Amino acid sequence: MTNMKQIKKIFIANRGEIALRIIKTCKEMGIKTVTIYTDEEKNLPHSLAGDESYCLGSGPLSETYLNQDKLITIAKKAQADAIHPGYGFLSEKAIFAKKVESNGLIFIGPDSLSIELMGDKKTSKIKIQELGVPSIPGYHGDNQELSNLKNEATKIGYPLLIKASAGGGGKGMRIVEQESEFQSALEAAKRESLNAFGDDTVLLEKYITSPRHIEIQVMSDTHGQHFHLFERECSIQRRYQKIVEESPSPSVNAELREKMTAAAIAITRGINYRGAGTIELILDTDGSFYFLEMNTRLQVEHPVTEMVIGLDLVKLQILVAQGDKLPFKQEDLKQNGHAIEVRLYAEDPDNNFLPSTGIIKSIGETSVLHTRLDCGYVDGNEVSISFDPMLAKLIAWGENRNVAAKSLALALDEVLFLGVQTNRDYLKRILTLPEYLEGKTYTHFVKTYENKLRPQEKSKEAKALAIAAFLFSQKKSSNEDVSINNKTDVWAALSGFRNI
Amino acid sequence: MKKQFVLDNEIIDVDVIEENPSFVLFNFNGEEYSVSLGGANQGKMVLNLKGKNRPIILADKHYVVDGREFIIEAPMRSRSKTRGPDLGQMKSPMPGKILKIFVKVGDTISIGSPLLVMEAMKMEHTIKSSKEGKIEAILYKEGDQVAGGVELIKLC
Repeated sequence: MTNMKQIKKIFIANRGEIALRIIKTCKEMGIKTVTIYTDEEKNLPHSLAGDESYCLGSGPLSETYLNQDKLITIAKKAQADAIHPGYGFLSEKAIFAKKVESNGLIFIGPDSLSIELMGDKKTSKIKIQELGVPSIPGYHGDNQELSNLKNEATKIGYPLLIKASAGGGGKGMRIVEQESEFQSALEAAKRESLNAFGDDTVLLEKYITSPRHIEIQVMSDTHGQHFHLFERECSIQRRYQKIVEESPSPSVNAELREKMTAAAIAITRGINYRGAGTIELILDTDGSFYFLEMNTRLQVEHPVTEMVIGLDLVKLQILVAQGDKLPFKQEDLKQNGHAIEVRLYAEDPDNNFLPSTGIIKSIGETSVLHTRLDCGYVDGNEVSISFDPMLAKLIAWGENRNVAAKSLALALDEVLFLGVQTNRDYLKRILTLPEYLEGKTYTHFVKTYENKLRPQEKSKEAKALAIAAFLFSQKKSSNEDVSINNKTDVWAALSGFRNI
Repeated sequence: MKKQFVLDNEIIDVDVIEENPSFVLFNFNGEEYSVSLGGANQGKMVLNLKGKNRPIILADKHYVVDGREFIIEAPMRSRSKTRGPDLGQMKSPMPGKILKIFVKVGDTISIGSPLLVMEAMKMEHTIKSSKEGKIEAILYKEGDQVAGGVELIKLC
């Protein structure tokens, strides 16, 4: 469906940093925005950041950010032309996209059919195979007899993975190194799976010992143009969530990039996709890659792509949604330099990444060149357990990977989120680890280098300086008196600033 | 003058030899430090040690030096926090929902015994015992929503 209507007002069906991110683009394009918030969020910056704001009340998410009818009613009342779903929440709910459109509003995202097709693991894999893109070899069939599964296992080859069909979170999962271990591993996986999910159906998959997570950013308009915006690497993860993302990938060369982006375009063209999307791939050490899934929305880590190709992805989404033809050609797009993003989380990385809460006393700001902070909080805000523990994204660009990593580590010295336990220091440990700089970025990075990523001893001198700062801050009020009364002292004390 | 502070939860001794509003000389860990205050703004301070400017970022009890965060408090305040009512109690480390309780009244537990599973921020966390003893009371049941820092389990 082609909309040919200029969007003048966007209802943002999201919160936090992504709501603020969308507003930035809208302001630049002269588009009005509508933001929403819950009773608990009145002091968070996204709440009143739109030209208009509506309170969703309180209660569980099903009554607030996930209440489709409530959101559409507000959007219509505010006379918005379009709804931007951001990421998470309703962004990949086909029924929501459908409802938005049947209510006469533009959904800034793909057609509901694309969301439905790619949102289902089975249908998406079948479609992807039809389009000639490889997915991880495996057996997902109903015949669960031992002899059949053993046969299929031999076809796939070892090592392989036995997974609970209904599963998640590692339950009912077994890695089998060789055929002789297959039967006992299968029995254990089935037992565990039956206990955890009440269903002992398993699936088999080729096990990739050292995988990398590579994804291709895609963008398609409604005039038959399907673009790729190159790759991102997001191998470094904890608890199956990405924490460091970058573009280009240090493990993708020109030839591999050509193959991966061609596969991505084959998919978007093959399903007649619209808008922004991400094709997630698993890359093996031998250069073979497999389709993992497609995210039919804007990605958390989209800023790294923006910094490398110099385009605003939210703007492209809006242009596509109002039916414009994107004004460039694939060959105009070039990767320039390198960008890395880290996700700052309210958690304790040295205690099993346990989430933390608290009042933010000082976020700080980055003074490092070519850095960007996408943040959903201001000083004084409370970090509660009601929402995702991601506090902000910090992104740095450099002419090459080492420069970007160095800049990002420097910026992490300044973006502090004092008052809340965060993974800030941990992220800095990753960025400065020699193995990271050498590009040894596999999805089990956090586990592999667990020992090397432990906190380093704080230096005696840094401790002494902190003590001195403490002593001075205790004297602060009397210090101010002296500054006024004793001019010579003040000038002497300020000598270090003179050449600024 | 000998002073005591709590630095990152550890009690430390500092011998302040000389102190005025823009200069301190103190002995810490067997070494002498002579630090002058260059200037201070809201949330920032520039100190001078051995002729070099050293910027510090601070807020409340948090002090950041070269990107490393230190928490420094006067000893009185922090003692009341870590001591006292804590004895014989097991508190929730964070706000969340109790999904599963593994123990019952009368059970003898040791350090590291799994007590219960809490869900916070859509993730499950197993809470283990940090003490030994016999369970006198369990103050919540499965499915309950609890605040952070509240007593969950009482030991005899």
